[in-house]
Amino acid sequence: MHTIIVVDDEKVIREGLRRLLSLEGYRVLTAENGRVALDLIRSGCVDVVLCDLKMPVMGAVEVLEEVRRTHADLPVVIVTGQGSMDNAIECMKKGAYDFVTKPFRTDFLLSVLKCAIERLPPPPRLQKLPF
Amino acid sequence: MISGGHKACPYVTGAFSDGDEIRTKKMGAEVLNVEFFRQCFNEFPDPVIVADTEGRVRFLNHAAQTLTGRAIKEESPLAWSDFLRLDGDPSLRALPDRCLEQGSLNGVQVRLKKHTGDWAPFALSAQLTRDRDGRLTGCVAVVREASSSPGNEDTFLKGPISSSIINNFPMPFYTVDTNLTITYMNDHLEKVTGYSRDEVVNRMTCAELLRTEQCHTKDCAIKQAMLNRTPIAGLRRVIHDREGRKIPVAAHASMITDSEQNVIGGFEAIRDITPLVEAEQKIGMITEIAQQGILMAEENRRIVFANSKMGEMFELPKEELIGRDISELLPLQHLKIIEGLVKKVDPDHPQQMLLCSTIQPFSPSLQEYRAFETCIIVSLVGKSVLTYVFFRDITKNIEVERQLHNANSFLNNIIRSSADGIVVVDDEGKVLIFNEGAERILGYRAEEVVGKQIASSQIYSPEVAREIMRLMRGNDYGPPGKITSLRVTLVRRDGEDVPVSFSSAIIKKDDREIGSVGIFSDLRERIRIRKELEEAKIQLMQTEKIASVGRLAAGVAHEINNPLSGILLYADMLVKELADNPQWSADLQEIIDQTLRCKEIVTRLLEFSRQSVGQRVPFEINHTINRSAELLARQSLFHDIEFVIDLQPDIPQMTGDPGQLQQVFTNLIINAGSAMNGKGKIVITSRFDPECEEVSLQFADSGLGIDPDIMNKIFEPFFTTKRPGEGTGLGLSVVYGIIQQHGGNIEVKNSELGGAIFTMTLPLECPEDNIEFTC
Repeated sequence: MHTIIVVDDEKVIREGLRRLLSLEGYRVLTAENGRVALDLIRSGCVDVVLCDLKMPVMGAVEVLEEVRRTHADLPVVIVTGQGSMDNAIECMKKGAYDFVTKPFRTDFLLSVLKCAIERLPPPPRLQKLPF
Repeated sequence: MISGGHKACPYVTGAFSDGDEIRTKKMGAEVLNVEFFRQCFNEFPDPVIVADTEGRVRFLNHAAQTLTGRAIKEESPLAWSDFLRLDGDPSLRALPDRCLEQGSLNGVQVRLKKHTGDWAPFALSAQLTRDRDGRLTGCVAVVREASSSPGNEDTFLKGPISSSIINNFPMPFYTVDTNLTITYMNDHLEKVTGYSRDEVVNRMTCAELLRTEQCHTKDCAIKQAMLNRTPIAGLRRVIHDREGRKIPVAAHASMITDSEQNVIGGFEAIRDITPLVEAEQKIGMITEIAQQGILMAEENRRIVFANSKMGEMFELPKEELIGRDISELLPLQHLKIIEGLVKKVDPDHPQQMLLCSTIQPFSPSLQEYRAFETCIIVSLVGKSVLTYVFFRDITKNIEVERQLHNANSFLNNIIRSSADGIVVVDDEGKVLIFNEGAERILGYRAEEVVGKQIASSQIYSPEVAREIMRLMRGNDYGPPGKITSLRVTLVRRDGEDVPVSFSSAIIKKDDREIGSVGIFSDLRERIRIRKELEEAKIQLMQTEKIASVGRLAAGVAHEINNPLSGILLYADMLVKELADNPQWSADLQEIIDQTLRCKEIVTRLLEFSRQSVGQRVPFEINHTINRSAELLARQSLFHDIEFVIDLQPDIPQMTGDPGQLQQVFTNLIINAGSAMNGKGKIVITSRFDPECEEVSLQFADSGLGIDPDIMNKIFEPFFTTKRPGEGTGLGLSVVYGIIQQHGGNIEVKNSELGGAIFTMTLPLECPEDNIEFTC
């Protein structure tokens, strides 16, 4: 069973994703900010990080930088609102596996996560990049 | 004997002339007192001859009768030409002339026919004779053999002939000895000086009598004549009479010599020249106060007169000009003129005059050139040819005229080049000035109206004319006679109304109205700019309104994404969990659809609210337009719509975000398709303006156009004419935002043929500050 850590400051999203991913057969960890998430990641049993871009205490960019330093192969999927698209693109340049814009369809999210676990290329994007 | 250069008194002129009938009749021979001469001279040792005014010999003393062998006989009158001839003049005609000229003759060489018939040389002295009333009666002559001694001089001087000569001398006259003691003075001198002969003769010197400045100096005329043995004539002196009054005189002096030619004394005749001096003073005063330089030169070109003004012009005292040759002072041009005039002068044309103007450096010390108006007169005065030169310095006049001319030119330039229209008319309405501004504003050319009467109806309506005249006389717009900045409408030649700011004034001279001036500024451009400013202000407000709505919407949209994510997440999960219950599935799908609709709105809002261009890359605008049109033309909405693509082929490459611009074109085409309900024509054109380096794009449809009431709202976010659910009201807002971010502009208007026309202008280069580099 693969383990996915959901990092989001919105409890509704955290709990919704925990339920969705659990139903899909994943082991789910949740964290309300980046710092908590990094503690859990250091335990060494996480396969994919699903991280909201903007959070209080520590955001996705810092999490990504630390993960790249300590767990070079651990895929990080960024979740972002469209207003923060530019930051999401910056994360991609820093080594994020892929990003998903809110609000997202669950099927698309699951396909992204599946590819990330299997270290496959990200699935085709339905949403158009702004460039 | 007496020698000297006295000139004859004019009234005896012709007394010896045989042809002088008047004198012959007036002065008959019977007047001559022959007996007097007989008693005096009958026994005189030298031959004495007395003749009347007709040249008839009336008396010969014994010596004369013996010498000539002739006697006076009543029956055969004797003419003195019968036995006297002037040397070199057998007719003796010159002898009377000389006697008349000189008043007396002294030692004139003549030939006398002796009783032997021989013509022998003799010296003749003669003197005119007069009766008690001063009338000329004839003359008395003494002849001596040329080689004989004149005898005792003292005796001669005191003799009756000399006394007669001296007493009858018509001018004030005196003689002195070598000590300058007066030995004789005549009656005339008594009258002039106020002294009697008894008081003076042998008692006073001439200096004590006359008291001139030159007395006791080397310039004493009589002393000079005695020392130099040379007669002096015409010297000007000022003598004093007994009362000390000054009397200007012309003095003529000579020496008296004895038979050995030793100077034994001198004599001087003076002539009162008071009238002449006074006249000269008057003329001198006139010439001194004259503003002209005046000089006079004699025929030998020597200057004999110059006034002070002339001295100023030559920077010399006027006295130093006297005696100079005019060629030292006058330019060659003037000398040539004088020479020419002198040649023209003759008794028939005694005066020649020429006026000329010259510009020259008048004096070497003067650096600047000066201008003169010169009048040169050459005049024949008596036998002399005199040259008069009058100079008038007109340098200042020319300078004043030049300054006046410059000032006028300056004012004319100001009037001519003024942007305002300036029209000046006289009291009859005749146009005097019609400047370039007036030409431009009113459409008339100056040559068409200047010098002609211009009807007021030509340039403004009768109502305006009446209003202007009313205001001109009132105080409402400036003082009476003036109007300041009145807004009126003039009429151009082509009939166009021209709003102007009009100022006017009545021109007066000595309280008399002689014309009026109107100055007017064209307000068309000012009004146009004001209108544009107002439109720009409205547009700016509209832009700000759109931007603020966009910012608000974007902020809201961002916050909405999270709850939308929750809704969509749970709805998706419920769909899977309730997959076996179609009733629930349909409801959930509706939730999902509406959530996605919200997502679409949020997406558009965020696109609209982006404050920067996504990228800045080179692209072909025509390619982007074609791509947008081709993609949409395939869709069913456009199956019945004709696309007319009219693109200028040589538009240079642009920089900006082609993706965003493709979205603009897509939105405009979809908008047009919707407006035509899927049927009609879309015309897309592109043009390049090299001067502005701008690309102009037009998207025109053949729909119904846009209601003018909503024309200024269509770019506002959420403004839509579609029914709820059919449109977000953000399509044109996004278009507006993207064009603005590219530094361009978009406008919309309705075509006269129907339909709406969206016109965009885009600079070739997207402004840098609108760019956000994201890749």
